[in-house]
Amino acid sequence: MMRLNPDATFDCLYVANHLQVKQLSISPQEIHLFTYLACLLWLYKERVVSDWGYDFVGTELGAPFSRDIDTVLKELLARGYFQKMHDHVQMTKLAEQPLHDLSGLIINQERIECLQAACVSTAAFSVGMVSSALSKEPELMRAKAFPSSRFLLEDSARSQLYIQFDALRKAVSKQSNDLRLPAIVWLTALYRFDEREK
Amino acid sequence: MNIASIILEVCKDTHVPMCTEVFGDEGLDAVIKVMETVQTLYRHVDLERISGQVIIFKVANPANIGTMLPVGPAADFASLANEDLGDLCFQIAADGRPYTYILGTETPEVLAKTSVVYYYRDAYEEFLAGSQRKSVNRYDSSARSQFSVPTFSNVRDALKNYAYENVKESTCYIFNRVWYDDNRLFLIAGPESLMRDSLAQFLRNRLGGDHDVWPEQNVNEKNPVDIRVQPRFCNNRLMLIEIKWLGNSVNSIGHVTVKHRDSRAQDGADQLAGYLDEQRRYAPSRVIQGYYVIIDARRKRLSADTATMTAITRADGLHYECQSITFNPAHHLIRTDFDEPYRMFARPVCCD
Repeated sequence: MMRLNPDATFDCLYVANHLQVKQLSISPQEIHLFTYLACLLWLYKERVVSDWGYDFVGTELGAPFSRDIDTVLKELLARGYFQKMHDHVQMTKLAEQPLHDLSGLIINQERIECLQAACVSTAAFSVGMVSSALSKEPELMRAKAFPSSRFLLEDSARSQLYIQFDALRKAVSKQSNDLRLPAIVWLTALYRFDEREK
Repeated sequence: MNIASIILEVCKDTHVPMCTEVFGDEGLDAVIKVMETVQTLYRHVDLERISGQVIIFKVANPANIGTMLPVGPAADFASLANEDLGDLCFQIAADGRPYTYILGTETPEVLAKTSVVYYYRDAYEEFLAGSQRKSVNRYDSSARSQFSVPTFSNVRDALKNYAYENVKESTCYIFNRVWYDDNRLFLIAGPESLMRDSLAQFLRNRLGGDHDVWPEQNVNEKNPVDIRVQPRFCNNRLMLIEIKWLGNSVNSIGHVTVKHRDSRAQDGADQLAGYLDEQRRYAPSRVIQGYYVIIDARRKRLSADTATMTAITRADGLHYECQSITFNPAHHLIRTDFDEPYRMFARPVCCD
């Protein structure tokens, strides 16, 4: 049996479980999108990108894509943890206990904070709006401007992102250390930036 | 304006930072729970059916957060689905569930002293916390609430809903600018760009995270297609949307300059068929699908040369609403890459 990236496996289950409460089923692309957002929030917390456990490339269309997430999704479908609904996937009951067990592990608590903040953004926005907003994030903007698959969040490419995160930290850290606040504020700002550019 | 200054602006004028500032982390918890509850309510209830106000609140002041649950069962939003509703008020209790709350003489302002309060009436919505209040920015112009923006999984569903939600009564504020007059009899000159912007915004907001939407994309050296949609992970799929309009448009001094009728609809269909052929030659490995949107603003017995007419009866105004257009050739019947045209009738305001 194929060995799966444990971080990507947990993230897939967590994101699917949280988003399908609202949407019934979700597209695989949305899992890539929200795990990438969670990874960005991991950086906001001044953690090391390599500790996230897997990486992303920017596709030619400016979308985040993780090979590990892709592999995990296929394997979870094959094992019955996910089921297909047309182009979408839905988590099955079989996955509930493993997700519950993994969520209780201390090692996953820091990622849960990021995954939760990413998913909570859908309380304020539709998934389409989150996607529109995130397309204005510096790394995905660059991926779209120079269409060829390349790794996202490499050392040399993160400076713009850190400038934005510094501004964000200054603006919200007095109010709360809860990651959900900067997540919503940042996406709102990116969405407005996108709207004003049109 | 750079992102840093927009971040400051967002912190100043939006409700989530406001609630956090007033009540700290409990305020953030409360505002997120309230937003999620509002979304759940609006998934079950059509906002058009609510004639009164909606109030949903959660206590956020640490001194007032108790563990006591309200008396009676938690509210079942599904049971409200087919009701004509007046005022609605729910308290989110310590168990995270909504309970019907009898407001009595209390006002949202009074509740806000200890709670995060959501208030909605007639497509206006705001949050209150402590002595502060902020209106909710609605980023989807056709939704009645920022918390009722559904997501569609494909372009066909999205287009069908666009016809109903945005065009039929001109509810989208971008689309609403295509009219020369308040009663929606005449179009302004060159309304195409507004129609395209309205549809592009709708598709961006409603197609979930898996499609890219680009307005006005060149498909040859002369003509751009109105909108191009591409699934994000399928480089070989492409959807082209062409928009044409029917009706009378007038210039700034009220002279009718263009009258588009059925032949115009045929021109648009031929044009899209041509784009599809070109794309197929240019990129034979791509799976391309064409979607033809016709904004139908035809009215019967309109004044011929000037926009002097300001009122129209239902009989004349809605005369074309159910009159389909006959195409010859009918590309949608003879080729598989051409969807049946999406004719979207835009109603006038009738005087009877």
